[in-house]
Amino acid sequence: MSFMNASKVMLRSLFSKPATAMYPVKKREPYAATRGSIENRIQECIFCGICSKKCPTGAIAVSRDGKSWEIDRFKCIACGACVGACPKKCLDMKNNYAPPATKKSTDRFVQQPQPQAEEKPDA
Amino acid sequence: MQTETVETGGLYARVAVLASWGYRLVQISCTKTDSGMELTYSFEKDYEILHLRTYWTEDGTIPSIQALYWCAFIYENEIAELFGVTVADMAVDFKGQLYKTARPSPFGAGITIQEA
Amino acid sequence: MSEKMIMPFGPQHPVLPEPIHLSLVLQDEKVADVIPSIGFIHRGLEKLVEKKDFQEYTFVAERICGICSYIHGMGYCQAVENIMGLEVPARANFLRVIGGEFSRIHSHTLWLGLCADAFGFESLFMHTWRLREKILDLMEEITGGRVIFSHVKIGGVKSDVDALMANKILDILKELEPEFREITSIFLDNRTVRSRMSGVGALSEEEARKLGAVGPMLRASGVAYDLRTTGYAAYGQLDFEPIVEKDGDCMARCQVRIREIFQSMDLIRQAVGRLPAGPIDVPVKGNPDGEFMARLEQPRGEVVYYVKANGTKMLDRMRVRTPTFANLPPLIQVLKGSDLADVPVLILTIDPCISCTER
Repeated sequence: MSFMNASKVMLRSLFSKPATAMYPVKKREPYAATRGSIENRIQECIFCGICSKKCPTGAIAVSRDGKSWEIDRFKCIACGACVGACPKKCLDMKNNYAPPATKKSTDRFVQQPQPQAEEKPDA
Repeated sequence: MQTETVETGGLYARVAVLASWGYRLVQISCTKTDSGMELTYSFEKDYEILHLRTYWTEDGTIPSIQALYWCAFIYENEIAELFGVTVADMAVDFKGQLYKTARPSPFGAGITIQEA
Repeated sequence: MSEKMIMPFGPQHPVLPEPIHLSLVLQDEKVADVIPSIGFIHRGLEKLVEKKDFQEYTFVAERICGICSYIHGMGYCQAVENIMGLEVPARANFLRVIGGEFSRIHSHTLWLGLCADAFGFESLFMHTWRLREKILDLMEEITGGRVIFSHVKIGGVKSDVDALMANKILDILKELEPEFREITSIFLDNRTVRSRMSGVGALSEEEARKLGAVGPMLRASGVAYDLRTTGYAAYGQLDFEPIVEKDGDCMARCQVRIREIFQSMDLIRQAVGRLPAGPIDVPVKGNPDGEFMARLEQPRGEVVYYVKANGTKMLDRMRVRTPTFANLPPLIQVLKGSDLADVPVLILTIDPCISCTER
């Protein structure tokens, strides 16, 4: 048994840099594998709606007529089920987190009409 | 999964045999069936697990095994409160006060999940 | 002898990170009896299984608890895989061991910090969590999540560990081990710490068995019971012995957890060294039909997953018996006859995880 054996650790931290970072000023770099937020390359989307069916929390709403894709970032658990299920692979898991907010809102992606109609979603 | 089905009447005697052999109570679980509840008592000794299965219907009672395994009180009170199973003569009976639930027997018969 | 009085402890109390209520029946400064009540954060996750596809439910199973989420997901997947007769690839089993052991290290480190906080050693609490942060960072790099890893899925795991990452794991462990030794030696040797934990809340071997204690609580009382020795996942191919202490008091429980941190580091090294080549998952076809009970060793003790499936996408029943639930009767036993001042430390030494208890 000993006492004062914590003092070595405590003294060292007195003379070294803090282990924490000043958060809003200095942001921590996310890792490549970090599951942050879902992004849609909307121009490639065919609005099949598989992602919204696979989503375990029902965070995704797809409108085929309005050519829009909507995600509720506050419902999304960043599990990656939609990314795996997407047939066009236009969904990406980005490694940056969705920013905190004071109000719940959804992110809406609308496809711009393409000059030359490459693919018709309605078959 | 191997289970041994016992009548509710013979449950206590069977558990008493297991207790005398030095089995440890692992858990008591309850599953909703069409006619009532299906109860699984799991016991373990030297990593070997043994399941006893018994059935409870609305008008029946399940004998309490707290005299053999005192720690069973937590499981028995849980199934009594969440599933509405009647457990007879519990030595430690919380009378519905173990869980703070908004409604009685939330996991019981006839209750389905509704979309928020 | 004065009259008995009842003192409410919790659900809000500085020592409790999560809500549990204990009615302490006091006689002077001694606890005569304890009446627990739970249900403050009951989410009914066992019931939710009737509404969720069995593959989607993996995400729910992981969210039962934020600390042992990896092993919760693993337990659920093992139960479903057993019902469906899926053979998990060897590589996936080794990766599950690595993930499971990392989550054991971070859980035990979290507990050490909370314990230091409970007996009022705040700077030790900060330093322990500083180390935990490095483990969390490494987990994020491997699995993509800090707390909810979403790494295990039915039929395998989601992401692989390449040779570069494997070396990095070994390097970081090498770097962290002396730091862990330094911090944990404070818990083991310091007089202040010992005076708060030695001889407090002793549970004999016989009592621990009879009351159904699990995990470090049981092993600290001298029972060599560790479900990893049954060889689920890849544990059958790794060398280790359950860690046992004799005294059964708070100090013994602390020692078991500290030694388990180093045991987990050793297991990770073994698993990384023997990582077999091959696929990391198998495709899942069809729906499960049947029932199975999977038992795993969580940081807090034995967890029991019972799954009953009926051949459709929705399961009939999923039941989790979490370690904290099983450790409540032994907690009541050790609290009886203890001093009021020791109650916070005693509650913490079972490593209570209330969100586990209230699935």
